Amino acid sequence: MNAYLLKKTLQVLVTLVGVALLIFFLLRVIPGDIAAVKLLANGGSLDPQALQAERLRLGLNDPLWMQFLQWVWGLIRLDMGTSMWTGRPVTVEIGERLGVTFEVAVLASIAGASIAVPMGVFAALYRGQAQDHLVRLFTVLGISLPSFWLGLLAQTALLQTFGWLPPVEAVSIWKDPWGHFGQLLLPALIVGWRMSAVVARMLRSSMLEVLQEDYVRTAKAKGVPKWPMITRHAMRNALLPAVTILGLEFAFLLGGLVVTEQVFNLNGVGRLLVQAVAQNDYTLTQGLVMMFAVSFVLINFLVDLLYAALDPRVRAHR
Amino acid sequence: MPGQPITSQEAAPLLEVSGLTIEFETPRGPLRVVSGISLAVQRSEVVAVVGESGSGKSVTALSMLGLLPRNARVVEGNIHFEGRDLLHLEGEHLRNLRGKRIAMVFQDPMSALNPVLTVGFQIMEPLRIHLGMDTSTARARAVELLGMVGITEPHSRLDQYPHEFSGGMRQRVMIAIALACEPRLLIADEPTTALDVTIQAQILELVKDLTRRLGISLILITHNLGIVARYADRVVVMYAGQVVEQGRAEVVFARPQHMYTQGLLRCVPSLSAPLDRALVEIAGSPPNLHDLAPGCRFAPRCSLRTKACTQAGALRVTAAGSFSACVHADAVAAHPVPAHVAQASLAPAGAAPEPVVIEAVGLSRHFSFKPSPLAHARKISAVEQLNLQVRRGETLGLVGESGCGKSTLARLVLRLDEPNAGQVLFEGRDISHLSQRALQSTRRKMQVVFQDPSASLNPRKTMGAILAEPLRVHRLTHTRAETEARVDELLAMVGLGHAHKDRYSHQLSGGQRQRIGIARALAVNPSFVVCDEAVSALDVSVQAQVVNLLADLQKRYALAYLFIAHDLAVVRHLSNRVAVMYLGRVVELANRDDLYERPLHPYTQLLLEAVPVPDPVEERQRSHRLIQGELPSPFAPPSGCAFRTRCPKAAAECAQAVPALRELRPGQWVACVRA
Repeated sequence: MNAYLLKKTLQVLVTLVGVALLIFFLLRVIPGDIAAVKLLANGGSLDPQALQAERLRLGLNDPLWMQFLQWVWGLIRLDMGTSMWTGRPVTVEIGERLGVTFEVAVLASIAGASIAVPMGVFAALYRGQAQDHLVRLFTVLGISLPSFWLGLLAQTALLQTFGWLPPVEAVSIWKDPWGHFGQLLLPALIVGWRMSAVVARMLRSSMLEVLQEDYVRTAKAKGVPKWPMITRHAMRNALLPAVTILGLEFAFLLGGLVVTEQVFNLNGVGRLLVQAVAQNDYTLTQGLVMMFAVSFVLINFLVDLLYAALDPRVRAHR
Repeated sequence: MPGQPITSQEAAPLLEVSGLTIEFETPRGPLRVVSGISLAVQRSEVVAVVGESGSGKSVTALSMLGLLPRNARVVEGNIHFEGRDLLHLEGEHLRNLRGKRIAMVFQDPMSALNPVLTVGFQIMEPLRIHLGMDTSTARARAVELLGMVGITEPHSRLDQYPHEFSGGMRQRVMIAIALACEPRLLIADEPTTALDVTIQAQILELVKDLTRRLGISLILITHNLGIVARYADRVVVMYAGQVVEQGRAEVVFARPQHMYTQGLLRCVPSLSAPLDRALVEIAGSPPNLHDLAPGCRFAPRCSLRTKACTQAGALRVTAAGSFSACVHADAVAAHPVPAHVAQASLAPAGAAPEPVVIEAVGLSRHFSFKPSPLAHARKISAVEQLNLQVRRGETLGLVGESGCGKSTLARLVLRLDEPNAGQVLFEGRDISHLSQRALQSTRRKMQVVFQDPSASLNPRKTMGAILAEPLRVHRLTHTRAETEARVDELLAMVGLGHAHKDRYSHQLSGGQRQRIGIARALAVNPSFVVCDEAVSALDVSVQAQVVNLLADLQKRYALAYLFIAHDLAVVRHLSNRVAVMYLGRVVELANRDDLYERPLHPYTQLLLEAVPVPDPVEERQRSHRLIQGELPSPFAPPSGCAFRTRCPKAAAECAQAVPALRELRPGQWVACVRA
């Protein structure tokens, strides 16, 4: 198991170095000079001397490889540098925004999984019948309807029928927990719908496959009643591929809520990323992308562990 | 009640199937896979249902437990078990029967157990469901059951998962599950087809002992006539969804009353029949159930076919006291079909030696596994210091249990894999370390025919394209017309017609696909062909055709064969010399007749005894010593002679050194110090 961890860690390190290289150099290919953007935004004119001074201050005049090494050296010490725009540490900038995104992602995953599991299983059990078609309708809609459009629609509907809207301003969980969750619930459900659709379709097909397996026939031949057969014998096997999808979707949500955050006016990392890219804020963009990469890797690792818990054969091959 | 005729008047059988007809819903319309079959099972009786794939035997078994797939439906007939109509039982009533009164053991033990549940849980499940045992009582009983099916340390093994058990052990677990509630009827559907012959014998003996001891009736579904002869009281022969013959085993084997049964019995290679002949073939292949002619379904393949055969024959009592569906049943019984068709003998042993085509000298192949980057590598010797020769026009048979290194050896001599030590000499030239490019010209002369003909043919190519490919790759033909002509020639060579050229793999039968596999191997005029379980996946009637084809082609083109198979009778039929492998080493190498008539190595002796012979009378006289245990782990082979852990003759000296091959009789080499 220790050797397994070591091997896994090495793989992760290689992945992260690759991500760091890519994001660093790709960002610098994008045209635009943050020093110039900054000076113009402050209402000043482009004074070549001021520009030069600003570039020097931000360290943009150093050779690229040196900038890269400095950044990586910082990363190793868990220091992502300071935002080139605000001058505040990148970790602080991200830390302030991560909470909301994380909460939405968790709520969406819980909602998604709890809708997906019964739906996937029922669709498989009633294959080709009305239940299956209903589930298919639900999942096709969930995958094809854009969540920002749904979000706007849902908000309008709420306003029209109840005359109520979730608070627009951020509400602290400590001061008003209900208001806080009221604000997050709608985006979580809408994002969760999409997620449940993906997972339910996966679960339906893996369930159909498992129901054809010899060991399910063995269970029937033993006289196992219907529900224990479905839950104990079939579902535990069918859940394996669904768990992988669920993990990937969750990791995706941590970085992929850009549009939804915009629609629901949530101050999460998605919006921060849009802002950072628009402002050519190299350090902040790099920091965010690295954070997404790390969380992706971490979640995949957790999925692997979960897999081992569900499947004894995986445990043995470690 | 031996000797007493079995008639339908006998008092209430345990299970009675009458007029059962089952249809499958298919895109081409309903397919009648079982047509009006009737059979009965008495208490404590062993009934074997024999037939080739597609005969409807497994579907019949599944219908007895209400386990038919969704697209199948019973159209007619009924099944009575202990006086109840099984087909009209619903829900709870049916569930209470399954596992409690009727239990089933399936073919593939690798997939029949749930991989994410412990073995203990799976054995305890029926005990809890049907007998209402609490966990600790059920656990105690499960330990008892595991012990009963011969699993050592049952306590600790209860908490293990199926993947921690070997195939044979898993089948033992399946039997423990099936017998947990002491059912009245056990249905075993090809229970040993996926297992080695040594394990097969262990499992079947176990089933026989337990069912006999517990007074359980057994339905044994199999295609192996040897198994039928060894274990069955009564035989039901199925063909194309119908019962064509049934009766007491001795009667059916001694005086078959249906031409299909007769053909089936005679096309199986045996361990004792004279060898200077070809196997009797049943011409053609089983009918397409979508497209049946009226009357006897076997008629198109039957040599006694007359006009009367177009009328459907019902099962009727024959003079011999069994039932036959053949209208000429009595004529069949009186009609002695020669056991074998005369054929010129295989290359006689001791004639002027032909040149050696391929030779392995001190060949070794090790695999090392690193369970993790920091762990010590563990070494497996898949093939160890192996010496073999195959001469022109000769067949060297290679037998051994799965995992003994047969397939690794095949890959080495074909140079699909590189040896760690030793040499492979092809026509005298060392090819063991040649580069792929340097091998190119040699490749053409070494070909292989694989086991699974459907997996080794590209499903998106026509047979013509498949056969043309090697011709093009090796530049054997230069114009399109030349290629076409050669493809036609190849098809004719393996007994296929011009029409097969445009067909795809799925449009051919298993036997036809294997013929294409052989034609493809022969397309490039090889001098050496490896047949890796080439006939193992085929039904016996088709197997005989392919075996005869291989023998015929060998004679015509003086081919050298390395014939790898687990079926000792087929190996005997085709081989001049036979090598027996055990854990990577050859333990005995001899001329065929010496090996089969006077085996010297204890492993060879036990292996031969494990093979059931399709003759009930002979079976009763043979000794049935079982090879104990299973193949040891290749990670930790026993010191000295690897077989000593299972050997009845083992002594202290066996553990000391690996025995070398010694020539104990002229041409018979044995690696045993006590032989």
